[in-house]
Order: sequence, then C-alpha cells, then structure tokens
Amino acid sequence: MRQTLSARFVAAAGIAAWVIFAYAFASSAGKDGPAEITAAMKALYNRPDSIPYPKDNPYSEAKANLGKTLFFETRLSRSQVMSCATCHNPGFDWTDGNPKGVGDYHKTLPRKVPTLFNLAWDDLFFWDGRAEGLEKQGLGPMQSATEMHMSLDEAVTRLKAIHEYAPLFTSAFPGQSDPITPENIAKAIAIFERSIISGEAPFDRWIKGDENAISAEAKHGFLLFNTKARCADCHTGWNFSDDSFHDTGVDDADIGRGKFLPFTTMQHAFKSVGLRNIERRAPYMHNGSLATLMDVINHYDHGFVKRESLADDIKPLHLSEQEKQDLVEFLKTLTSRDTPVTIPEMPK
Amino acid sequence: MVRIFASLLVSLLVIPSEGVAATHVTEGDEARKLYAADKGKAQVLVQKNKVFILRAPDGKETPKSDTITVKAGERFYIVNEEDTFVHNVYDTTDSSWVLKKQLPANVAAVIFDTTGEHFLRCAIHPIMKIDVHVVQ
Repeated sequence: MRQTLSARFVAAAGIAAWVIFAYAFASSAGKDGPAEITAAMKALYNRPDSIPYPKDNPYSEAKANLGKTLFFETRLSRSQVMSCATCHNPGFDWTDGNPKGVGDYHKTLPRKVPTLFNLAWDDLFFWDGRAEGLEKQGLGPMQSATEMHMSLDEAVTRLKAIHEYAPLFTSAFPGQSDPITPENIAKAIAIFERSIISGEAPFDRWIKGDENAISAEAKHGFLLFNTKARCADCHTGWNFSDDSFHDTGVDDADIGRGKFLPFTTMQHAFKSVGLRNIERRAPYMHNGSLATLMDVINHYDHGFVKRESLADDIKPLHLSEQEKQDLVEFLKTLTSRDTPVTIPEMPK
Repeated sequence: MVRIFASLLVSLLVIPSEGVAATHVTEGDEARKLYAADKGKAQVLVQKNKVFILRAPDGKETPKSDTITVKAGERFYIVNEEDTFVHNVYDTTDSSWVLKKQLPANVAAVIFDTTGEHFLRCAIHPIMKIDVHVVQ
C-alpha cells in the first residue's frame, strides 16, 4: 500500500513538473516571442527620427521637386527613353524586378539593379562602392556608355533647350546666374533620392511594442537572425545594413570591390545591402542568381563557394528546415505598404 | 658616360624624393611584443563594434574617434578588440601600405616618418574611418 502511494506520488509529481515545464516553454516561445529576445536587441532596430543631409547640399523643397523631375527625365539619356526611374522603378521597390539591369538599347548589364531605399544613411554606392557620396553616384549611370550613355555637356545642353527647366533650377539654386550645371543636376537628384525611405513595416510596429504585429515564427526568425544565423553581423540596424563589403561566396567571376582595392578580402566583395522590402525585391544577390529568400538562406547555410577571399563570417550554419522557414517569415515582416509614387509632369 | 648615367639612375632610385611619406608597419607576433612593451606609453586605435576608439597612453578612451594626432617617428597601434568582426585597414592617401586582414586580438604597429595627413579606412567596414595628423 505504501509503495503504491509512493508510486502515485512520483507519477503525480512527474505530471505536475511536465505541466510546469510545458507552461514555461509555452510562455518563453509565446506571443511575446522567445525569452532570449532582449529589449537591448530590439533597441538596435529603432527607426531614425530624421533624414541626414550633407552640409554642402542642404534640403530644400524646390531642390527635391527638381530632383524628382530629373529622376524621371528620359531626355537625360542618349536614346531619350531611359531615365533613372527606368531601372529604379518605384513600382518595383526602386529596382526593376530583373536578375540583371537592362541598359542602353536593351543591353543586359553585369549586375542586378540595387534598390534606392534608405540611401541617405550610406557612404559608398554601387555594388562595388566605387562612388563616395550620393552627389557623385548620380552622374555615373547617366554617363555610362552601357546605361544612359549621355555626356554631361549634352545633358546640360538638352536641359537648357527645355525652357521650363530654367525656373525650376533658379528656384532650387537661388542666386546662381547659370544654375543648369552637372553639379546642380547631381545635387538635386541626390536630395530627391534621400527622400526615398521604406515605410513602417509590421516589424517596426513590433519593435514599437505591438506584440501582435508579427507572428511567433517571425519572432523566432528575428532571434535566429541575431544569433545562430548571424545575419545581423552585416545586416545591422533599422535598415539592415552596415554598408560593409564581403565576399559572400556567390559563384561568379565578378571581383566586385576588388577592382578598386586589390586586397584579398576585397576580391569578389560586394556591398551588404539593406533588407527593407526584401520579399518584393527578388531575385537576389549582386548577380540576381538566387530566386527566392529560401535560396538565399540555403546559400548562407551551406551553398557558398569556398575560396581565399571568402569572408571569415561565412561558415556553415546548420539551420534546421523550421529555422529556415522562421527566418523567411521574419524577413517578410520587413515589407512596408507605401503610398504609390506619383510621376511628375515633365517640363516642356 | 654609362657609369655616370647608371649612378644617377641608382641615386634616383635609392634617395626618397621629398614629401613622400615613409611608413613602417609591423604585424603578427613582433607587433604583439612591441605592444606589450609599449603598454601605457603609446596611443592605440582600438577597433570595437565596428568603430575606432582612441585609447590614450593613460588609458582614457575617446569613443567613435575620427581623428588621431601622432608625432612623426612615433609608434602607435591598431588593435582589433572585437569578439568576432574582422577588419582590414588601409591608407587611402598612401597605397604603399595596407594591413593584413586583422582577426580579433590582432595587433599592428605603425610609424609615419614624415609629417602630413593620412586618411585610414577599413576596407571591409568603410564606416570605420579616421584622419591621422602626423606632426613634428
């Protein structure tokens, strides 16, 4: 009899312990997300309050409006059918939806068109970082023989022949006797580009405290993003980029930043791009070679090419299928639904 | 005549022209030994959380520093104190030298022989950049 009671007691205690354990586990992985997600971890992802502008190109509404008009101006290309917006199409999250860009007379370009989201916080531009400052970046594609194929002199001549541009430039650059210059074209476009900010996404609402904004799977994905998967080592902060350059083991012959910096670390190195609206920006990587977010996660998990220049941070991750799914769920929470961009009336 | 020409050529090659900075870089175990011996005597550029921190000889730190002033001929150190991040510092104003890939705990010792301005940057993390004023 005593033994039976003792056995019953042990069994009851075991069940109670299991219930307590199950409750504790459910709480730790419940709607608030895994307990390992700390306030400090989430604080790294607060959105900035304002857009930074350089001292030598401060914001003005007139400059931003002129910049937007120039951004959509097809007459700044030799063919007169390409504008900045042809490749950086706002309807495709400021890229073009193709694996690689398409340039002058439909020639395929060597790399995917990067998005223009959140460039105000960047320093070096293009996949290989060859332009320092947005004011220098803007004129590059315009002059490139494979892209807009337009000399700066010809661009100025064309804009001066379109009479309605003169008052726009005068308003944007007051006090200048001859404001239609390559420098001012670049400054106006740069000011407009700084205004291209990805809007508030479910992820941001979760960071601000709305626990129902994203799913439990996405919260687990966020934890993995910051820990086991080590994505946040480079995809850092609210824009999910630290503007660093790494060889991430994409299998092609493009040496990227290595063309400009002959160091081993820079061979096949490309910019760590921001991840805002990434679900809508497929295909992925600098050469558009990966079709889906799961392909990207599999690449970082085990699919990278091993070579001397491969970044030290790129190592097999041994993620489970569920962990990969959770990472994808998390990445989907970075998509904002923004007000559609209006196309300006073009000067005559 | 040939000899004169040859000696002129040699002298042009071996005598550094005025204004060209000479930079002495020591890395690896040798740099680590120098660093240990110079503790409390030299300035240190610490790499931590993808920023430069300037550590004065007395240990006082200036976080997110963007400037360091050193004397010509004076040794200073660039030390990676990251947990995992790797850095690769180069001199954008003088392509004659670049540090090897700096893993956590790696130490480099640098001496600029002549006065002037240098702009150092991490190739991997270009947000890490610092002006070096080399003074008399």
